[in-house]
Amino acid sequence: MSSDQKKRIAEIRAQALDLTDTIKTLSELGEFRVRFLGRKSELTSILRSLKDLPEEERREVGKAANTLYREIEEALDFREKSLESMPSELTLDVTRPGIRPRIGAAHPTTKILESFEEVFTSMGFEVVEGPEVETDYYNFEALNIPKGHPARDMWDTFYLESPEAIQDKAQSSELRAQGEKERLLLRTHTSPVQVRVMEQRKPPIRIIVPGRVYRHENEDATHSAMFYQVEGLLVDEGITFAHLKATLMYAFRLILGEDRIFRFRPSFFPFTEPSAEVDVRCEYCEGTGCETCRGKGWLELLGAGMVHPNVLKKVGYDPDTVSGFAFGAGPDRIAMKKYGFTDIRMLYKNDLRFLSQFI
Amino acid sequence: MKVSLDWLSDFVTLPRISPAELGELITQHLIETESVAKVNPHAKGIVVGEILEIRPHPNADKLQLVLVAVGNKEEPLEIVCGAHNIAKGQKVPVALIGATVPVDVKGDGKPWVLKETVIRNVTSQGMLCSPKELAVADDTDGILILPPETKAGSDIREVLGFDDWVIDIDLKSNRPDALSHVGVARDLAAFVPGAKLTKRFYLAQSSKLKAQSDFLQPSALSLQQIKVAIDAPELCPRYIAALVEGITIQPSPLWIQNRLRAIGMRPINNVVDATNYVMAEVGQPLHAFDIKKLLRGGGGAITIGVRMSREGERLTTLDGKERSLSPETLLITNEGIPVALAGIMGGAATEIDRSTTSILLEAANFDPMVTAKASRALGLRSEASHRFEKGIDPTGASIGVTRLLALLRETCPTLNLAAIHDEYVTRVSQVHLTLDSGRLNRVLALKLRDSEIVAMLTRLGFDLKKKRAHLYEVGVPTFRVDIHGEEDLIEEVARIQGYDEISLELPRLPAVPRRMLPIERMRRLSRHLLTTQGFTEVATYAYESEESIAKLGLNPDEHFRIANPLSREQAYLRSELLGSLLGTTAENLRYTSEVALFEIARVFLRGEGRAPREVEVLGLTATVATDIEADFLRVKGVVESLHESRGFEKSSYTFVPLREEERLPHLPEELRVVASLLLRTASALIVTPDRVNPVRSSHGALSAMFAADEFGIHPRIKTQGILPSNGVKGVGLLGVIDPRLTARFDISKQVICYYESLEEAGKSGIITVKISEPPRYPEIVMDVAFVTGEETELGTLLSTLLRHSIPFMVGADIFDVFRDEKIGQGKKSVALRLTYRAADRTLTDEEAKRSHEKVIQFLKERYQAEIR
Repeated sequence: MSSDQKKRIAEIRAQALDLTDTIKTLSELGEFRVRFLGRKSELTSILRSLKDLPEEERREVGKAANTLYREIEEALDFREKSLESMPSELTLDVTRPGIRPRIGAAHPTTKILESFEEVFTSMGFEVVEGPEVETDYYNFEALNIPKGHPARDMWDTFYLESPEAIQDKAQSSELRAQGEKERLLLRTHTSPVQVRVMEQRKPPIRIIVPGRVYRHENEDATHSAMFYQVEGLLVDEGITFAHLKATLMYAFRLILGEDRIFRFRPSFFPFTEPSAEVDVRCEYCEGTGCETCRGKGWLELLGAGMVHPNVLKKVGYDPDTVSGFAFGAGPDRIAMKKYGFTDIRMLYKNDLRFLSQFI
Repeated sequence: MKVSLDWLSDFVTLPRISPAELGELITQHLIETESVAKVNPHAKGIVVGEILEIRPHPNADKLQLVLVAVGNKEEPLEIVCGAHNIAKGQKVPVALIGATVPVDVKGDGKPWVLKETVIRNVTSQGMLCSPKELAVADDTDGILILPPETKAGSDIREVLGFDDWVIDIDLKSNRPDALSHVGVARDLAAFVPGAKLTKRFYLAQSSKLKAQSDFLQPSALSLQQIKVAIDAPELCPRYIAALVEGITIQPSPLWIQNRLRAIGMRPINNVVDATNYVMAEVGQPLHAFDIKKLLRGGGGAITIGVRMSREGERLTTLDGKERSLSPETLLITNEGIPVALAGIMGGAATEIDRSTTSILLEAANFDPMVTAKASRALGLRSEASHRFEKGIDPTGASIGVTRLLALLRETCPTLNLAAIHDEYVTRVSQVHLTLDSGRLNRVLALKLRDSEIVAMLTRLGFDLKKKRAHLYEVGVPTFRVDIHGEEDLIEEVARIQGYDEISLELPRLPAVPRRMLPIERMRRLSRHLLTTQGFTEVATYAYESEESIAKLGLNPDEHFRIANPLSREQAYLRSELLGSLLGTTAENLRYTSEVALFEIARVFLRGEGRAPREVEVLGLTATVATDIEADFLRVKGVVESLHESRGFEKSSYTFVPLREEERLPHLPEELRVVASLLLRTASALIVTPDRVNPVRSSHGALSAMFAADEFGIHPRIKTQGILPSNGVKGVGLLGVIDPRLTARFDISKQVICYYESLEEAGKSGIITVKISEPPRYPEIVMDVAFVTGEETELGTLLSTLLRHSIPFMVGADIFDVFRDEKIGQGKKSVALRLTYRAADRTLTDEEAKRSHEKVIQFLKERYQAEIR
C-alpha cells in the first residue's frame, strides 16, 4: 500500500514540476494551483489518508507528500513572480540584425607586428627600435656589404640630399670616403639596428626590431616602396644553427598556427653565413601548388642565418667566443598570407573599405 | 637561371628521379627552384614533312596546295597553305588532323586542336606550322623551315627538343660559378644521391689553347698585325683575343638551337649562338668582332685596348642605341676608338653579319665593380654583365675559347685559329683557408665525421689537406669567388648535408624580465582605445610632395629631400602627418560620408646633427557629420578617455587654449610644426602652459576640469593643447581645422583633428592611478537652469565655480545647453547638475539647499545668469 502511494507521489512530482514552466498566464497558474494543491487534489487526499496508515509508513509517506507540497508551492510562487514581471504581450523580433557600435580597425600590419612582439617577448626578446634615416655605414658597410659589393643590388636605396656631398667633392679622397660612410639614406632593412645595439651592449643579446623600411623600387602587387620589417637577433656563447631553427619554428607556430609546416633552405645574405630562407607550407593548396604560392606549394616567410663573423668583428665582438643568429621577416607579407589578399599596395592605399575589415 | 636537363646530362649522370624531385633537391641544397617545366608540354601529332609539290589553290590567289610526305608508310597529304617561304624539297612541321598546336596565333595564344577544314572547297589534310605556332619564336610570317637532314615522319617533339625539362633556379649574387650548366652539374653531383660527373664534365674544365696553335695556318693576316694593349690591367685581369678564320655564317645545328631556346635564348646564327652556348655551358661570356670591320675602323690595323671612357665619348651598341658614356665605363677600343662596352655589350659597328668570314673572339675577365657601376649608369644589363658583375674565374676564359672553337667547327669544318693573344696580367691565385671540423659541428649542431666533411667539400672542388686532428687546410677552387672564410665552408657543408638534418634546440638564456618600451605601451593603448571608439588605423607614406607641404603653408626647404625619389609626389620627408591624413580623408570621402582615422608614425624634423630628428606622433582626424559642437565634444571625450586609458592621473593633464603666440615654445617642435600652421590659418590661437588647479577626483569634478577651456566653432579654427602636470611641454593639440585649409585638400566637410607627440606622452604617462573609494554617505543632487550670454565660457565657468569653495559641493556637470528664439539672440540656456555631500555624515536637505543657494548667487553675480 505505502509503496503504491510513494510511487504516486513521485508521479505527481514529475507531472507537476514539468508543467509549472509551461504556465503562461496568471489564471492558468490559479487553475494549476487548484489542480495540484486544492482540496480535491490527489496530493491533498494522500495527506488526508495518512492517518489510516501504520505508524512507520505514515511518517515516511507523510514526509514525502509534505515535501512535494512545498516544492510545488515554491515553483508556483516563482512562476507567479516571473509572470507578473513579464510584459503581457512581448513584441521582440529577435531575428533583426544587431545594432553595432562603430568600431575602427587596427592596421593589419600592426596587428601582425603586435603578435610578433608578444611571441618574442615571451621568449625573452626585447623590443628595440632604430632610426628610419640611416647612414650608409650602418645600413650596408657594418653588415658586410662594402661599397660596390654586388649584393648591394639586393637593396635599391633612397638617398637623402645632402649639401655636404657637393663640398666633399673638393676634399681629399679620404674625407670623401668618410662622407660616403655618413651618407644618409632611408634604411632598406631593420638590420642596421642589430649593429647599433651590439655596439652598445655586450652579449647575451636578444632583441627584435620592428619598423618601417624603404626600397627604391617600382610598386606592383608584390612590391611597395615602403613596408614593415621585423628584425631579430640573438647573440651569446655557443649559439648554433639548431637554436636558430628551434626559435623560429616555435615562434612562428604561435604566430601563424600550431599546425603550420615550415622548411629551411639555403639562401644568401651578406651578413649571415650560413644563410637560410624559411618557407611555410601554402595553406590554400596544402603544398600541391596553387596561384597564391605560384605553384610552389610554399610561401616565403623570412630570411635568416648565423651572424657573419665580419659583422661581429665590426662591433668588437670576438667571433671565436660568441656566435648568434639573425632573421628578418616581413609582417606585410605575413598579413597578406594570413588574411588572404594578394596586393601589398592595399596596405598603404588606406582605403577604409579595405582597412575597416580588420576589426 | 634556367638549366636544361638534357644539357646537364652532358656533365652529370643523375639517378632515376623525376624533374620535380630534382627541383626539390635543388631547393633543399642549392637555392630555391622557381619552376620545373617541360620545354613544350603541348605539341602533339605534329611531324616532319617533306614538301613534294606546290600547286596554286584553284579557288584562291593567295593560297597554295602543298603535297607533303610525312613518312614512308603514310600517303602524302594535301595541305592548304598561305605562306610563301616554302619550296619543294624542304622539310617543314606538319600538324596532322587532330594534332594539338601549342599556340593559337589568331586567337588567345593557347594550345588548340586542329580539325579537318575545307578552305575554298579544298579539304586541307593538315597544317604547316609557323615558328610562333610551335612556340619556338615570335615569327608568324612564314613556315618553320627545318634543316634538310631532318627525317620526314619524325615527331616534332623530338626534332625540336620539346621533351627536355627546364629548371629555373633563383641563384643569388654569391654564386656566379653556378650560372652555367657545368657549375650546376658540379653542385648536383655533390648533393643528389647517386649522381656522378661525366667524362665530359672533366673535359669541359680543360683548355687546349696551346694545342690549337698546332694547326695555326699561314693567314692573310699575320699574328703581328693584331696587337692587344691593356691600359687598365687592374680592371681587366685577362684578355684573350683569338683570330678565327674560315667562318660561314649560317643557322646553328638544331640541337644547339633547341638547347638555347629551352633556356630562353633566341638562336641567331652559328657564331652568336656558339658564344651564348659557351656562356650558358661554362659561364664564360664571349664576344665576336668582325675582323674586316675592325680593320676598316682601325685603318687597316687592329690594336685592341682596354681603358676607361673619356668625357663625351659615344658608342652605338648592338641593340641599336647610341649611348653617351659616363667617365666610369670600361671600354674595349680598337686603335683607340671604342668598339665595345667591356663586359656589357659590343658595338654595332663591328657586329658580325651574314658576310662575316673571320672574327676576333674576345674571352676576357673584367672587374665586377666597374662592370656593375657602368651597367647601372647606362641602364643596360646583359647576360654577360650579369656574370661579370658577380665576379667570374679568369681561368674560364681559355676554357671558353676552346669550347667555342669545338662548337663552331660543327658548322665550319675549315675553321682556323689563326692567332691568339692571351694577356693574363694578374694571375688568379688560389685561396687557402683553415677549417676546424669541431667548430663546424658545434655551429651546426651536427655530429659529422671528418671523412664525411672532406668528401662533401671535395665533391664541390675544394682541396683538403689534414693539418692535425680536426684541422684542415682547404684550397678554394678559383671559380668559387664567394668563399672567403671558414664560415663559408661551414655553410657549404650545412647545405650539402641539408638544413633539414639540423636538429631543433631552444637556446638556454637567463630569464631577464623585460619592460615594454614606453612608446610601444603608448601605441598599444592608443590603438586599442581609438579603434574601439570607431577610428581606423592607416599607414601612409613617409614622404610627400612639395605641393602637399605648400598646401599646409609649410616651407619645403625646411624639409629633408630625397635625392632619388620615385616620383615628384614622393620627394620630401614629411615633418607632420596632417597632409597625409587630410589626403587620405579626401580620398575616402569619395566612397563614404564619414571618415574617422588615425596614424602613428614618425615625422622628420631638422635636428642638431646632419640626420633628421625622428619623432613619433599620433594624428587623428574625424569629419563632422552635422553638429560641429557635438562632434567636437565627442572627439574631445575620446581624447580624454585616451589619456586616462594610458594611466594619466585625472588631475595631471588639462586642456588649455592656445592664446598667445609667444607661448608656442612651450610645445615640443613636432607639435609646433602643426600649431604654428593652425595659428597662421586662424586668428586667435594661444597656448598657455599654466597649470590648472588640481581637481578632486569625482566624476562631476572631472568634467568640470575638462570644461576649463575653449573650443572653436566654425569658421574659426581653435586649437587646444594638452599639458602634463609637470607643465613644461604640451603633449597634444586638439582643434577644428580651418575650412580654408581643408578646402585645399578638396574636403568640403569640417574636420576635427587631434595631433600629439607620442614621445612626450610616453614620457609623461603616469603608471599608477590613484583610485578613491566610493563615498560612504549619500549625496544630494540638485539642478539649476539659467540663461547666460553666448560669450560665457562654460568650461571656465565650471572651473571657477569649483574653485569658489561652495560648502559640500563635490561635483558640477553641464547636462544641457540649448538656444532658441524665446531665450533670444546671443544667449544660451544652460542646465547644471550640482552634487553635494559631506565626508563624515549624511548631509541634510537644509545644508544642501544652503549650498545650492550659494551656487545660484555665484551664477547671478559672476555671470548675470537669469535663473529659470
